[in-house]
Amino acid sequence: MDNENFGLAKSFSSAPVLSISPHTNFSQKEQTDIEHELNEQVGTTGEYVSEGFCFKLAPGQDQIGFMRSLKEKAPKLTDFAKGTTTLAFEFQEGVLVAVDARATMGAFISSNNVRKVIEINDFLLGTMAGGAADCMFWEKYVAMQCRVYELRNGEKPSVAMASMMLASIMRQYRGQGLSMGTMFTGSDKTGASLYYIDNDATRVKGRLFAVGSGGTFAYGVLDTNYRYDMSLDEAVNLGIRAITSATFKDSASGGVVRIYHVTNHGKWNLIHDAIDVSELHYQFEQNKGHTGRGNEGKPNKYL
Amino acid sequence: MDSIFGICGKDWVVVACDTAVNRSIFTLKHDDDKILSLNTNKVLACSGEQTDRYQFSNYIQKNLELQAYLTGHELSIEASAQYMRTELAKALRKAPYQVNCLIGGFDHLNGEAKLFWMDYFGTLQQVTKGAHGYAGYFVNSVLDNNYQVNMTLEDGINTLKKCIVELKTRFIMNQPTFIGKIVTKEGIRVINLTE
Amino acid sequence: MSGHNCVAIATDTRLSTQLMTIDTSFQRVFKVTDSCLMGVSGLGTDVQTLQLTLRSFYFSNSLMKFKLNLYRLKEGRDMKADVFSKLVATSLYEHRFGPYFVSPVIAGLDKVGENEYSPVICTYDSIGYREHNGQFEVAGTGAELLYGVCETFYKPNLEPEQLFEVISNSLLSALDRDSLSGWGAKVYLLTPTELTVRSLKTRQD
Repeated sequence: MDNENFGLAKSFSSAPVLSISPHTNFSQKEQTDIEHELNEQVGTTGEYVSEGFCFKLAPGQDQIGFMRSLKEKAPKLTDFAKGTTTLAFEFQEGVLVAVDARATMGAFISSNNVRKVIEINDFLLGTMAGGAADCMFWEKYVAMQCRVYELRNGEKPSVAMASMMLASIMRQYRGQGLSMGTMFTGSDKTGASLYYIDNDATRVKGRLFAVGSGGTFAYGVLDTNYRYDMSLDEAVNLGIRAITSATFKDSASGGVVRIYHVTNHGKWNLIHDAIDVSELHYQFEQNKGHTGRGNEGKPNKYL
Repeated sequence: MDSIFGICGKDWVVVACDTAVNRSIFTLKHDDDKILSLNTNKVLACSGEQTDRYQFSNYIQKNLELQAYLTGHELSIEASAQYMRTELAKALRKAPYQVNCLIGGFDHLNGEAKLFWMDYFGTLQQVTKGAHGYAGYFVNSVLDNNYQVNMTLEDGINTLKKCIVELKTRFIMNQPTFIGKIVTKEGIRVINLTE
Repeated sequence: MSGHNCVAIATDTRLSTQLMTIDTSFQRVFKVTDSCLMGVSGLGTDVQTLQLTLRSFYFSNSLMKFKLNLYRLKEGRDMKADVFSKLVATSLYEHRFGPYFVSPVIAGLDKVGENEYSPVICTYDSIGYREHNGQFEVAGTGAELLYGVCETFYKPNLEPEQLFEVISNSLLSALDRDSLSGWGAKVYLLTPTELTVRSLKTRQD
């Protein structure tokens, strides 16, 4: 790669990649060699160089041990945002992506209005589950790589290729504590396609995925009503209904629902930005003749 | 790992369960009936370890029978459920039964069907639809979406069938057969919910 | 929360296992006597073991109901709220080495003179330490979230309708930030003459 710096610390360095894996057993001699090298890097700059990136390290040698003790001593610091319902499915008019918007830290709701669909570029979308920062950073990184590819080769990379980039990164950092469960979707010459990628570097192409703590509930609705030959309207309604049901059952999901549509012609559209799921729940229940409070068919007990 | 779930309408209640008994990595039995008929208008579906399930449901059944024999009155659905709750809660701090239950029944007094959800701690709640175990994660949204106050028994059975289809598509456990028990004014009927 | 000749308890109605909502009409507040209410938060089964209104008297395993009835038989009158609040403390301490996983809240009114009532408001930890300051007490998963808003909006000697507004808004604001509570809420307002129960519309996520 070139030696240009794109604003990211020391990215694209031409130096050979040094990857520090916590699980590798080095022989004694190699160990000292690596420690020597580490000392040089950590000692002088305090950075961890891998794949062209410089990640600042915590002071000291035992990084994994440090993170572990940090988790014990200051649980709130390492308690990143978790708990989500995101779903995406392919249908005849492309891919539909629907997500909730809640961020929780333990039981506390830190936000009900998070953007969990990352608009990677004008033809790629990624959803966010697990570590928000991990998803955001690496998907933006893929966006940059896609642009570089386009400038070099005069054409956009395929979705398959872009998703492979992300999966390869996950492979490289496996076991280092990244947390990401994403549905990577986009539209290229072959139409829209959908991949599931997570921090174990699993990469699966598929028609229908739901990710996050509310994912199983979303599957319940999707599997019963899904058809490939749905119209866009039907697909949007199905997405909304699945997210609403999941947010009702799952306490870690909620807020608003956002719907994106990836067309078959190289673009995506934002269909619904923020519809309140609680309002939707009441609306759906009232359509059935219920109050929405879940007290139908049961005696009212107050005392 | 057992799947049990149920749905309740105005004058009917259906409880369904899978029929596998698993041990270690194999299946011991393919046709176990996990729904005990307590009498002609009450059923008790249990999930959990086979031994606890067996002990608890039989203990309950025999005691309810004894009670009916002594007093000449059958306990109502809610009273039976409260009795089971009491027994589970008492056992909780001695030697807990690992059983999660659904109690369904038809009350002849007021002509209503009732369904109770109870976990192994002894938390009892009257519900209109309920599920236990991992199955709950998959079928709860199906039940929520299909439940309607005035739904017919047929709709109820169809809903349970949808739940089973969902379990078969998404749940990693192999649960090939499901049975259901319907309680109505006429009594208890067994149906095979697997096509 | 206490007001002028009135007390109130507000509660949500969710029953759940871990993150999954089981039901949205779980009963947590119970009437003790005509002048006392008890709300119990915590493990569902222990809430019900402590509870007071089991309909099936035959197999009763209701701890406080039993003690109340015994008192009534012995003394020929209902227990005062203040006395009851201390009874709860000792009852919880009976289980010091195997506690019930609950934190109850008591709200009651004791007659102290002609048209004069003293409010009893207290909360407990799971082994019966009784905490009371006569103004408001909070318990449950959203307790921390409730403190700030209660301290801001609470004023002593509120009239019943004002108290209802304050307690409802305090609860609703906490429910919006606590992922484990919500799915319906009830407010119990107790005055010397009547008990009013109101249902609040809450978010369902």
